[in-house]
Amino acid sequence: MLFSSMTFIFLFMPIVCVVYLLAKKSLQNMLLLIASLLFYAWGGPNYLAIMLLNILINYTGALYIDRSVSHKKTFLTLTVVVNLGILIYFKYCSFLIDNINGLLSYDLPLLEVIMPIGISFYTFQAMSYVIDVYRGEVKAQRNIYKLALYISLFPQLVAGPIVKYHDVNHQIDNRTVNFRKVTYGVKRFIIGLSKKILLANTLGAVADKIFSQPVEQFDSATAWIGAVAYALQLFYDFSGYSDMAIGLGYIFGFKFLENFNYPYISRSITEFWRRWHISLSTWFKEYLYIPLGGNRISPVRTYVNLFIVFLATGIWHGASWNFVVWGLWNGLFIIMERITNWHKKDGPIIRFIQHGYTIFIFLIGWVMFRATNMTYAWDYLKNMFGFISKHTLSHDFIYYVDHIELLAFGVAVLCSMPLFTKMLTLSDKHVILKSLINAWLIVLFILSTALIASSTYNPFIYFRF
Amino acid sequence: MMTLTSKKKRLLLTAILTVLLTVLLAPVYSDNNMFASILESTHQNKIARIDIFNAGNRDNKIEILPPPPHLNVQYPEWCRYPNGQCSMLEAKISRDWRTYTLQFKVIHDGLITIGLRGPYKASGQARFPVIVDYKDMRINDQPLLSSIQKNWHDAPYNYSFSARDGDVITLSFQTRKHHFRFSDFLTFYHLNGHLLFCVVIISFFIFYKVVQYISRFKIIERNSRIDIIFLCFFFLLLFMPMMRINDDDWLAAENRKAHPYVPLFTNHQFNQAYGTQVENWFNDHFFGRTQLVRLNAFIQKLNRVISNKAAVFDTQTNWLFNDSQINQHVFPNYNPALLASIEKFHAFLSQNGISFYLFIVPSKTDLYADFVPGYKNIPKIQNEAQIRFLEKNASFPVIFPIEALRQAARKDYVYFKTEHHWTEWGAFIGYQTLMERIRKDFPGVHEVKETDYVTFYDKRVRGDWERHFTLGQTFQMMNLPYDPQKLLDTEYKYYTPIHEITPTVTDIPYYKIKSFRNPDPNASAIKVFLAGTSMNENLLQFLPYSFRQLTYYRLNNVQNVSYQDGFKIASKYKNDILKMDPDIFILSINSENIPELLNLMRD
Repeated sequence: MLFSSMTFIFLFMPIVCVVYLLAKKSLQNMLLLIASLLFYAWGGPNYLAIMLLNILINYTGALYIDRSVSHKKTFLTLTVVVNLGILIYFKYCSFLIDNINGLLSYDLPLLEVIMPIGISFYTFQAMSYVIDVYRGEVKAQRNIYKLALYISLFPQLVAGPIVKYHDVNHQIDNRTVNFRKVTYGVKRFIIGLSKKILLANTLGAVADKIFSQPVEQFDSATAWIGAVAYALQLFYDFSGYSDMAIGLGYIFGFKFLENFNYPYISRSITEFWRRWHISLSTWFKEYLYIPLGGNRISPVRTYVNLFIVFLATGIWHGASWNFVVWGLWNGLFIIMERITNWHKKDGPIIRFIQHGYTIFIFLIGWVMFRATNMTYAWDYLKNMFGFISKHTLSHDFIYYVDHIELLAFGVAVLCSMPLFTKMLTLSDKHVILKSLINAWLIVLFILSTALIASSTYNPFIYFRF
Repeated sequence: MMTLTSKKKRLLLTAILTVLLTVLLAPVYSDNNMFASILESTHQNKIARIDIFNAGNRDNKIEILPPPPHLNVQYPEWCRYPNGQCSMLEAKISRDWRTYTLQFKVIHDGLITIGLRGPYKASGQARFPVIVDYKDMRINDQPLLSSIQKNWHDAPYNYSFSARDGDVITLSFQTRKHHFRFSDFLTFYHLNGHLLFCVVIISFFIFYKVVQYISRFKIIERNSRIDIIFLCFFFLLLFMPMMRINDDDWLAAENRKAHPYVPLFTNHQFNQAYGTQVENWFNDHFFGRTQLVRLNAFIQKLNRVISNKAAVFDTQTNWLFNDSQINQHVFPNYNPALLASIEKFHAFLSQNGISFYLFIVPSKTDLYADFVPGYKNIPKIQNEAQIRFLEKNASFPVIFPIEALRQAARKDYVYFKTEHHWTEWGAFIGYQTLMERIRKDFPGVHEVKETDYVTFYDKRVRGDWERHFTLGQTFQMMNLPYDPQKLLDTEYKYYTPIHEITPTVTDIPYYKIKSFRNPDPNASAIKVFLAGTSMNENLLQFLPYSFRQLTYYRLNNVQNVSYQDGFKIASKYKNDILKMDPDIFILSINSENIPELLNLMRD
């Protein structure tokens, strides 16, 4: 089930919210667990088995790690290997076989494995739990239902944020739901839904129009429009989903950490990764970069560690060379920034150049991320820089960006900067501002649901006689 | 603003909410949309409806002489039956009795039925009563109704009598808006008092608790009143769509069946796709769907131009254009190669004694470029340089009927607004241009005339292989949130041959063929092999009637054949051509298909 579906918004969410809010505190965890399992099983109950297996493995693994004195590391390794094994099997198997066949001229048959939704997210969450137990930061959870709730909690199950166990373990046992949290949660949910439906989907249509064509069919300016549209789509899609997850978390009394913090205003790629998908970058920092030695050993080792982290970040995003190259592209600039330290310099002109540089680098990166393969990505980049001179088709600008899409573009650019944050803070003190914001949120909610409802409108072409 | 701090205020709010919910839940304890019906019958309705039907033969009817004031007389098409035509009269009504007297003449002997009823009113697909009071009905001054009759559309008071052709009947009656009586609850709405009692009590207790719960936020927690209202409104919105599930199984605006509800267990087996099926069912049935779709359509309409990957739509004129036709192809100069490819194919045909004609159908934008919204760089004619080069240098006839179509477009639509194909009128113009050229080489060939057809106008679109009336393929590509029936705002001219030839149709992997055999002994004994794209579908309303035999090979949209491979005619259809041994080979394509002619002789 998707947050942006009619069934979720108008069937699942109201029922779960009201039952949860009216239920006794002792029943709330059980209700949330049932709702989460139902949410996950909705699209296909078969995948539920994989998640339940994941819960069982990590529950058992953590108990052994906790009890063992001399074999803690063995049990940790075993649990992590099994977790990664499942993830690799479902997510990377076809990619690996394909590459082995290509490299070694084998003819291994490709496995027809369908990836369970959200497996990357819940596997990482589960691993954070066993690692935390191994480190002694938390005690192993003896109640399997509570661990199941942590791993399967539906607000962040499908698209994050990746919640680390040590951030929420106390909240599972002891959290409060109050009016203020529910109100904030609802507002945050509406903001997230609007980001996803009104901005990300609209800009996604622009990016799709451009990226679905052969590169010879559009000029450089169009290629840049496509890259910017996709950058904005990706931000609003992902951060919208995170907002919805955080909002739902608040409604149920949880406080999840922020996942995005205006990444497009960054002045360096280092800063960008502090603001973009924060839960993933901190996960890699805590569970990979620091265990590898972080920046404490030597400069060269630091660069190697960064390289490994960004290679892993790329691979985590998908089973394709595009993602690997994209990860390394980001890693490369982070290493360069660490070597030169130029991103730490300040001054009005330098700041402007730093912004330009960062936007340029992440736009190039997003082209690799969006392209269906590296060949297309390379050709697209060549087109962006005018290296494809012969275009077989000349489209009009309005074909790519109609008036509503143009409006969405403008709004998306403005909202990617922290221009309106103060307004929300001020609204608590100003009655009129608060009323206006609340009314506007209701309007946004209705507009978003109108767009979702329209996607279910599907006229049949033939007249029935 | 209500602070909810006093018990009295809480009780008042509870009572208001209870009444509201009781009204909403009326279908639970009554029939016939009770509250809407009462409101309509006693206040909003302004007309009484009287139907007069003369049953007998097809031509039976009545004629109102002369229509009295305050009476609207109609002879609607839906009221025409095989045994006669009925008349519908609408009389203005008010709270007081009004007397109406009218005379009508009987046309042909028959059984006259006078029906006193209320106007038609429906909510969704369910009709509900709008009650109208009648009394003192007289026919030729003979009293027939003494007591007050309370009638509605589906429960009229009917009186029948025989009449002869030419009889003049005088009808009078009194009518008024319905005066509501307590007994109406039972008569019209089958009110179930026990259920009503339960609904009121349960609603009251629920709301009492809810109001108490909400008021706690203000009284105890001292939360913002604005946020309390916001949250209540949000949760109300969340619950609204599931409050009333629409049980219609046909979505008229979308011209399709609604997804049915499929249970979790079907045939004693667990339904694996339950979640998806419930989503589909809910998406089609939730309350407020139509309103939300309309809202989105309204917002979209603020946008002059809507475009997606497939097409562009002008929201003001309802013109739609396919992406492939609105963009300028900028190919390098390949004219000599193109000509060489076609000449090679021509040589192959000539060797076998077959005359070759290249018929290029213009694109929709070649005719209607001015209607493409917001575009500045539309080519005047798609691939014009190639067409002109071929016209000038080819050793075979090249027919490009752009001028004839431009002339014809001044009189009527030659292309559909919601599809990229030409209309049958457009195809007829194209046919005439093509035949003019063929008749230079084959003077004896019969050319069909408009008189060989029954013509009619229709707002729907018919332009492709299946010969079904549709909404238009371009419309379908865009999946616009509009009622397609409203979008079809234009009538197109259609041709039905008086002596229609039914083709033999083959639609299998690798082959898509229509074969016509003309039984008319006067038809010229010429065999034609026609190959081409979808514009030929409407051309086939005319072309087969000029020849003894015509076989049409569709080149695109053929199962298991790619678009490019479809044009490799020599390798693919060589044997078919030689086997048929036609006198004429017509290659009939769209102007945007021209680059594909490089593939004619390729393997």
